[in-house]
Amino acid sequence: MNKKLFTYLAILLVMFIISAYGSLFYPHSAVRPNGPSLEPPSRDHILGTDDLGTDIFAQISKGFFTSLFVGVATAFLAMFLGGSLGLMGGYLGGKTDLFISFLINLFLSLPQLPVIIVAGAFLGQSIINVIFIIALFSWAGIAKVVRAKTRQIRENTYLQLARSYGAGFFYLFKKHLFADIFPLLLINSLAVVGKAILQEASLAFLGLSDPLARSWGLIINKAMNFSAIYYTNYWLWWLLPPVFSLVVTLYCLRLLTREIENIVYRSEL
Amino acid sequence: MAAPIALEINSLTVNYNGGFTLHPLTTTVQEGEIVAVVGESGSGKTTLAKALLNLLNRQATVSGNVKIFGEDIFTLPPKELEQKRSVEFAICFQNSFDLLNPMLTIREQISEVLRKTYPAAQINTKLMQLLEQVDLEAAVLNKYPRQLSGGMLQKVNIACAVALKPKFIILDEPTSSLDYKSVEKILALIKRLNRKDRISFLIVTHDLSLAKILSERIYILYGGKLVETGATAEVLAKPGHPYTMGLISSSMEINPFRDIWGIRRPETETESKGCPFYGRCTQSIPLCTTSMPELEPYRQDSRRFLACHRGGIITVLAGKNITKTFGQETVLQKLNLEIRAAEVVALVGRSGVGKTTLAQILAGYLPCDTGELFFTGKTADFTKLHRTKGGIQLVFQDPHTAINPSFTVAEAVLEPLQIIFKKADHEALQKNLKEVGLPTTSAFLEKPIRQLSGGQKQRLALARALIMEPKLLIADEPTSMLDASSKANLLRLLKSLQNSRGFSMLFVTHDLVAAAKISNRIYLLENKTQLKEITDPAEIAPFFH
Repeated sequence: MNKKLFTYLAILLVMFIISAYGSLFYPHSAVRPNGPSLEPPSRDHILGTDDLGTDIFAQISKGFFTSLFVGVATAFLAMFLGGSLGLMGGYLGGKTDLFISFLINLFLSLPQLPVIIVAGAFLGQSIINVIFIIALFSWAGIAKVVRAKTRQIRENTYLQLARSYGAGFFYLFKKHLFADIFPLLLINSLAVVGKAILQEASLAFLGLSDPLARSWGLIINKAMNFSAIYYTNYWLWWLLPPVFSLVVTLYCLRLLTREIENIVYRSEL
Repeated sequence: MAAPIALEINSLTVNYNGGFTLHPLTTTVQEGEIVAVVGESGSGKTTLAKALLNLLNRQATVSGNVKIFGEDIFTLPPKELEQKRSVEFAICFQNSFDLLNPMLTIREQISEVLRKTYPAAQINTKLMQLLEQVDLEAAVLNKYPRQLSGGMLQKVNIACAVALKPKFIILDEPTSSLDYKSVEKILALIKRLNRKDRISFLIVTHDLSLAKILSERIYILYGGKLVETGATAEVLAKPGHPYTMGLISSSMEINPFRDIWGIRRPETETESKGCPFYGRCTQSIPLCTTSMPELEPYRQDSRRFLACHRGGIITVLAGKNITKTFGQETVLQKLNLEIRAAEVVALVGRSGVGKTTLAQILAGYLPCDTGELFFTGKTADFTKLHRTKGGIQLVFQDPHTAINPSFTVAEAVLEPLQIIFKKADHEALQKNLKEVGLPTTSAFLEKPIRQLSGGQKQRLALARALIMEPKLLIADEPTSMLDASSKANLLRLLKSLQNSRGFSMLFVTHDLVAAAKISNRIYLLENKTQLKEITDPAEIAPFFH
């Protein structure tokens, strides 16, 4: 197995295990106050408590799953939406393609964060809304790539021949399109996972995500809103760990995506 | 006034006990006419020649009647027949040696004939004249037949046949064992006798070029059946019967440029009731097995007759008034062409002239703006033709994009069957791979296409088209990606598959030399409006440097 791939997966797995411990076996709740406020790290509270006395380690652990859920769910939605629209545009061509291309370009050219912020503010603060909003702004990139690839395959005479033999769309998709499109879809969707996590964190940081869902963005937001944070040592265990978790997760995901991309393209040569 | 009739045959039928039959034959030969009877070995040519002069032995049952200058040969007493032989009519057989008396010298053999008419005093002069005419030296006169070569004996035989200038001469393979110099002499002799003395000839031969040079009319015989007749030049230029076309393709003399391919061996045994050519025919229908086709007028030509249930070679694909525009630009304008059964037609033109466009229109992969396409006489329904066996298949120009690179060999070749019939026919897979010269090992069958070479992909694309058993195969530049040796191999392969399976092929290429090698006819696409048909190889000669 690829060594780099293994390393990135191992790091993510370690984070997963730590977070799983933090959410399942760690004695403290991530949502309710469970000790004196602003405790420094101790044997009882590994990373201390925040201003309301809630355990920080428990929050970060829960945040991992929130982030992962947001990332994966968004990626799935975007994959489905972008994949099917891209396939449709590329395969059907004509007016359908024109319309879909217009949509793709529209969503690619919209300034994403401002619109997401506005939309987030409008639709209300729930994780599901956030997922939908981010997905809505992530499918276009996937669709663009899938559409181009589909068009390219469609030009091949083998597809023309298969159609002349009477092959339907389902057959063509299964036999001729899927194998070429799936790797592309996978790589681009993996990229969406990271992007979605970052955007959710951004929304949470701005206070536009679900205030009850313990996400890393929200922890960072609260820590930074605590006015005395830089005058004390609190930032060491309150602000740094969520930022560190976020950066490591995103970095690993990004490198993982790139590695898979390499593997896929190398196999195609 | 019509010329007197030299030979009149009325429902002449021959039955051997062994079963061989000469089917009822009725025809006439005018005075001063040269008629050729052409057919391959065993077609009944010699039987016909012998029957005409009542020379068949008792094993054969002969019916009908034959008249030579009004004289009924079959009712003539043997003595009188013997009298008239060599004087009024003569026959010269192919196997010369058997027919000469081994105990007599050549001088005595020929003198014996001359003595029938000429007084003894003139015989010597006549002898010398004859020898000169047939290109023999005086030295042979004192030799015995066994001392002469086959060619010399043949000349002696011809000398005997023409010695008394009979008005009607039957020559059985007159030039088969002669060298080219002697052939020239004999041909000149026949022509001179025909012109000066108005002697009629019936020339029995398997050599089409001999028929082409000498005869005015031609009879094509197959399996004892007259399948086609007409003016020689017309029959050879536009054959009506599949057998005639096969004969022409097999003739080296007629095709100096082209590769020679014999007519395929029969696939099935012929029922004695049906058409004798059934087993080797590429366009037979069930009717052909059960009933014998009658000789019927062909193409409103009073001299041409044809015996075929399908009315002669069918036109597999005909395109009329094909016009195609891309945007503002007219690419093809009002082009007409046709491809007949079991024929290889080459579509030749310079790069970018629109060959591929035309090929894709003909194959039904591109709609044409105006114009009509007919498949075996009916408006072509390409959707159906692509999806049924016995339809049209196209081998695309670029083999790299014609097969999905992630497929395995087996998947790729079986795809049409998989899509159309929803089942894989592994027997057909093996057969077709073998026929296009690819391995059939399971390791190869499982190999992904992207690991194959260009030439292998080309063959694979061919196998995939052939698995549909098309009636018409259109191959677009099948050799453009290949080196000289692979190209030669593929061209020969294509032609041999075409020959053995009997499909028609449109071979699209920019390579005139390759086209001339394997095709029966060439369409030269000169520009968007001009599609020139070339049937005579001599017309292409100027293009070669």
